[in-house]
Amino acid sequence: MKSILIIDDEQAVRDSFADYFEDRLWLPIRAESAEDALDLLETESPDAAVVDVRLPGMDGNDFIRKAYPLNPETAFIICTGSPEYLVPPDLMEVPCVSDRLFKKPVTRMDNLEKEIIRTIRNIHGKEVADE
Amino acid sequence: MESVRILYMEDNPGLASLVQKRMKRAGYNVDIARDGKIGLEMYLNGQYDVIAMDQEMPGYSGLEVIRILASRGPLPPIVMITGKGSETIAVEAMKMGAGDYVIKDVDGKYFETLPGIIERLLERKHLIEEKEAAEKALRESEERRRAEEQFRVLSQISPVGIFVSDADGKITYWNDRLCVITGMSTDEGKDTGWADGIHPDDREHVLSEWYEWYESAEARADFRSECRFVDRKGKVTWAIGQAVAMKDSNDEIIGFVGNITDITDLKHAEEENHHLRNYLSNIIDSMPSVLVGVDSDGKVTQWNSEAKRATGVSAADAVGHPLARIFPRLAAEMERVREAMHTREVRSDLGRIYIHDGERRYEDVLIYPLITDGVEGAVIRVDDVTEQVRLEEMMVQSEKMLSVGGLAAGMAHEINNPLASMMQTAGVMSSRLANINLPANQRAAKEIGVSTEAIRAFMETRGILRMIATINESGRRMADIVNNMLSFARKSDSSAYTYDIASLLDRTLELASTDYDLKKQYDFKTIDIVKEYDSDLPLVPCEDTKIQQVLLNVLRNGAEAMQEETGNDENGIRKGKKPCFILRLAHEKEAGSLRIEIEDNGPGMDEAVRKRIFEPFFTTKPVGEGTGLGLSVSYFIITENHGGEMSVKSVPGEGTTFIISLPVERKS
Repeated sequence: MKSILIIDDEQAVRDSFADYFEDRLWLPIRAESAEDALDLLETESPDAAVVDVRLPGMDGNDFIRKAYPLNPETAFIICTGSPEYLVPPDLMEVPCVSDRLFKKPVTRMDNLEKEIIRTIRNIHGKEVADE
Repeated sequence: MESVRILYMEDNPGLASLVQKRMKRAGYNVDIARDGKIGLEMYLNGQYDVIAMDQEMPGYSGLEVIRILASRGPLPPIVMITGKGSETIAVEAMKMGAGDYVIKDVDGKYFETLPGIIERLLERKHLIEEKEAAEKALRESEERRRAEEQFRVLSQISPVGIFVSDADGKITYWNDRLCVITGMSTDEGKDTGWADGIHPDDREHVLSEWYEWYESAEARADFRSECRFVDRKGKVTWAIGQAVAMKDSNDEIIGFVGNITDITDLKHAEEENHHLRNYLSNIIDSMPSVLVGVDSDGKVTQWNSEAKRATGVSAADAVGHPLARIFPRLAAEMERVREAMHTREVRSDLGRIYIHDGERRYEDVLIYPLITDGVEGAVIRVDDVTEQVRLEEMMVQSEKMLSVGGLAAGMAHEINNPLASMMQTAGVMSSRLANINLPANQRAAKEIGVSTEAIRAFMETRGILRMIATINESGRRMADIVNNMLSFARKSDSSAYTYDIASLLDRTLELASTDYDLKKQYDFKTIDIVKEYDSDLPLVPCEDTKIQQVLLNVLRNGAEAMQEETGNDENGIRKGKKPCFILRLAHEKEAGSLRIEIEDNGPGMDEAVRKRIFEPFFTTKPVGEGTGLGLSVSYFIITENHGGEMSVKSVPGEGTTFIISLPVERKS
C-alpha cells in the first residue's frame, strides 16, 4: 500500500485529505506541522506528501528543502490557500516536487491524486503518456 | 499827350488872367484860385500836376499851403512866386519842398520863364517817378526771389514730397523728397513721367482720379489719393498724395500744388495691426474652450468659434446682445460675472450639470474680470469636463476596487482554509455515501450488515446527496467570490505576447455559444451577431485569457439582459425584437489604441445604474444570481492590468454598448 504524508495545520483539512486518500487505498500519515513531519520522516518513507505552505514554525517550502534529500523518492505536492503563493524557483527544479500548484479548496481531489501519481512516475523515470 | 494841368493861386485877378493866357499858349491848362484856402481845396479835389502860387494871398499864404500839403503827403511840383526882395521866403519854400521859385519882376518877364520852369519841374518829377518805379521793380523782384528761395529751401527740407503742376496737370516742379519717395529723379518725374513710378496695380486708379480731379478742380476742395511707388530696385513705397489748385487774381486756375507723404511705415503698422488682430482671433478661435467676452452690461463683446459651435449662434449675431439671451445656459452665471467685475477677482462654477441631447454633461465655468484700466468687462471661459468627470468616476471606482483587492488578499487565506475543510470534507462525504463500488465503502457496509446500494438509495431518497451538492455549490461560489476579489489585488505580469483581438473575440463568441444557462433559460445561439471589424487591425499586447474573461463577461451580461427584454415569455412566445449583438473593432491610430465595442439591443440601463455598473458587488440581478463582481473585475483587468479604458453607454429601452480601449503599444 502506498503511503501519503498530509501536512496541514488545520485538522479538518488534514482529515479531508486523509479520508479521501484512505478511501483510495492509500495509507495516510497526518502531521500538523513541518517539525512533526520531519520527525515522522525519520521512521517513515512515504511515497508522496501533500504540503501546506503556511504552517506554524517552519513553512512548507523549508520543509520540502529539508525533506527531499532525506527521501528523494517521495513526491511533494504543494497545496495552499494563499492566493499570491508561487512555487519558489529552487523547488521548481527539483524533480520530486510537482510544478503544479494546488489551491485550496481543492474541489477536484481526483486531479490532485492524478498529479501525485504522475510525479511519482516521473521520479521513477516512467512514461507519463498513459495518464 | 494829355495837357498838363496847373493850379495857379493868385489873388490878383489881372495877373492871374495874364499868366493863364500865357501858359495856355504854351499848351498848359491853368485853373486859378483867388486865395490859398480856395487853392488848397481845389488841389485836394482836383487832379493837378503842378502848383504855382503866390506868397502873399488871403486865406493861407503860399508857405502855409506848402506846409499843409507837406503834412498830407508827398508834395507835387510847386513853383513859388515871390515878390522882389522876398528871396528868404523863396529859400524857405524850397526848404519845405517846393520845386522852384520865380521872382516877380515888374516887366512881367517872369511869365516867360514860368513855362520853362514848369517843364523842368515836370521832367524832374518824371525822372523821380521812373527811378522809383525801377526801385520798386527791383524790390519786388528781390522779394520774389526771396519767396522763391524760401519755397525752395522749405520744399528741400520738407519731410513730405512736394510738386507743382501747370493747369494741364503736368508736373513742373518736384522736390528732392519726392525723388526719394518715387525713386525717380526730378527730370524723370516731370510732365507725366511720374505715372511710370506708380505700382502697376495702382497706376490706373491714380491716373483716372488725378485727371478727373484736375478737370473739375474748381468744384473740388482738394485731391487725395493713396498708391504705391516702386523704384528700379523694386522697393515699394506706400504714399498718400494731396493737391490743391493755385489761382491767379482773376480766380483762374494756373496750376496745382500738392504733397506726397511716405506712409509705408503707417501701412506696415496697419498691416501688422491687422495681422496681430487676425493672429489673436485665430488663437482665441483655436482654443478648445468656449471664450465669451462681455461688457459691464452683460452684452457680448467677443465670441469665439467654440462658442459658436456650442450655441449655434454666429459671432455676428451674438456680439452686442445680452449674453443671457444668446446663451441661456449661462444666464444663471450673470450674478457671478458682476461679482467678478466688481471684485476684480476670478470667479468659477466648476462641474455644473446641464442636459444636452438628453445626456447629462458637465462643464466648468470660469469668469475672468478684465483688469486693464478703462476696460470694464469680463471673459467667460466654459470647458466641457464631461469626460474628465467620468474619468474621475472611473478612478474612484479603481481605487475602491484596489482597496477591495487589498482586503481580499488578506482575507483569502483565512477564508480558503475553512472553505477547504468544508468543501473537501463534503467531497469525501459524497464519495463515501454514494460511491457503491468503493472498496472501503463496501467493507464498512458489510460490517454493519447493509449494502452500499441501500445506503445510496437512502441518501437519494432523503435528499442527502442534493444537500451535499448544495454545500459544494455554495462553497464553490464563495471560492469564486474570493478569487474574483483577488484579481483586484494582483498586479499584472506584463504580458510578453501580442494577440489578434478579432480572432480572440471570435473564439470568445464560440465559447459563449456553448454556454447554455438553464437558470436564465437563454441560448446564445439564438442571438444575431453583427461583426463590424476594421481591416488591418494591429496586434495588441495583452493576456489573452484575461481579455477573454472580460469579453465573455460582457457578452454573458448582454445575453442575459437581452433575454429579459427580447426572449420568450412564459408561454414560449417571443417578446419584442430579436436579440442582437453588434461587435465593432477599430484601430484608433491617434490614440494608439484598439477599440472594442459590444453593443446589445437589450433593455439598457438608467444613469444611476450606469454610474455604478463597474462598482464591486453592485448587481441588478436577483440575490443569489450574481456576485456583482463580473464587470468590476473586467474593468479592473482592462484599466489596471492592461492600461486601457472601459466605459459604457446606454439608452434605457434601446440597449447598451460597452467600449473597451486597449493600448496598441506596450506601456513601459
